[in-house]
Amino acid sequence: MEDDPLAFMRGEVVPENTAQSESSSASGIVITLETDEQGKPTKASEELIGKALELNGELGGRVSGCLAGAKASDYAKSFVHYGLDKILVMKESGGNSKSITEKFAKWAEESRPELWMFPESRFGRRTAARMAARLGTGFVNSVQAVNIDLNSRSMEMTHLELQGKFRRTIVIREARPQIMTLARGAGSPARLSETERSPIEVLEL
Amino acid sequence: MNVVALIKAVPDLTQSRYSKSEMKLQEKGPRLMPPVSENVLEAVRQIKESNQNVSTRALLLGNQAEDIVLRKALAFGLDQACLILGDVDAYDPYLKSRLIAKALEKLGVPDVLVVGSDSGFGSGGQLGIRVAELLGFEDAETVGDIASASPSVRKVFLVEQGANQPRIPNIMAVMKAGSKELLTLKAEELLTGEEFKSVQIISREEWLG
Repeated sequence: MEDDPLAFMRGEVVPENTAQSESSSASGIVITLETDEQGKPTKASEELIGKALELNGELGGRVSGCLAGAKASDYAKSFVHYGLDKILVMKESGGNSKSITEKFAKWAEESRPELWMFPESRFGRRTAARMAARLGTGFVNSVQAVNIDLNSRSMEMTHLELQGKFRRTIVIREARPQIMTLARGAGSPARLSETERSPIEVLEL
Repeated sequence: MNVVALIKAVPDLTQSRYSKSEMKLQEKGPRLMPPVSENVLEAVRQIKESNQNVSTRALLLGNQAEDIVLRKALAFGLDQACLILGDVDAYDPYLKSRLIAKALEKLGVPDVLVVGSDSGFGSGGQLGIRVAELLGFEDAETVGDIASASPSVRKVFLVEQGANQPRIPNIMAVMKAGSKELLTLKAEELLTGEEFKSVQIISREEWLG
């Protein structure tokens, strides 16, 4: 255990805190993909891909899907026909949100995406919150609608609070990546395309 | 083993009204402890009952009037309570989590942090997980995971709403809690200058009623 657990909060362990980074240097969308126990894409993952591709139509970057876990390499094949630019497999043996966060965050510091989307699931919420803490950025949960301010490349993310009595729109200003979980039903499921085949890249982080 | 319960206070929506002219919720009455925080306190109680030498503390980021919620935590049998005094409604989860992490550093980083999942009132239960990540805590899935964990591994236990049946404190426990001393830390003394900032803003809100 580290003597000073807040060291990385001050940027001493993770040298580059993306909270301080300029939003203009970030680009691309990353989505965290989930499968069921048989390795088939979940409905939430299909909706996430659909929404990411829709947003990317305005942003004009690249959309990468990523998976982590012991069987990620096998399961990645289930996602190659959804029109993603790339599928990333993070070699990871810990299998929990803390160890996966470490891998994701390391890659995020290198690749500097502007948006990282997670499915609205127990794993998705946990990992998104850990990522936001580690990278020093904002996170909006259960996003129902997204508008893009193309000048600042900021997402205007709308969700419900106060037991559904408030509809709030939240903007993450400079910090990148902007992190969200997408509420179920907020995106149209991506369609399979037999003619497209996304490349799979295995990352040894 | 030192255990900290992270709890919150929420507006009483049965009494509060939304002001269209001011475009904000006009709160009435004291803030309340949401059900998920009661589940958190019950989980702490179970950890205490199934382990020896457990010291427990409730921690809440809020304003002075919310000490009533902390006293309820003491009535649940927790040993100590600490209020981080600040303008909580003006802070985003990024700032709140850093304040709480800093407070825990000041108080002594606990072995176990017990936090609630989504209360339905705020940012979806991200606060406790953010704090856990800042402090390097691993996930615990059950109370049993905490008992069997290595003493060198700090754990965060995320409690879902309805995960247990909270035992409501009796009147004697409530009265005893009312006379206990609360520790208070000021938010602006925990983080200062450039550290004291939020990264996200509310750009629009709409009352749905």
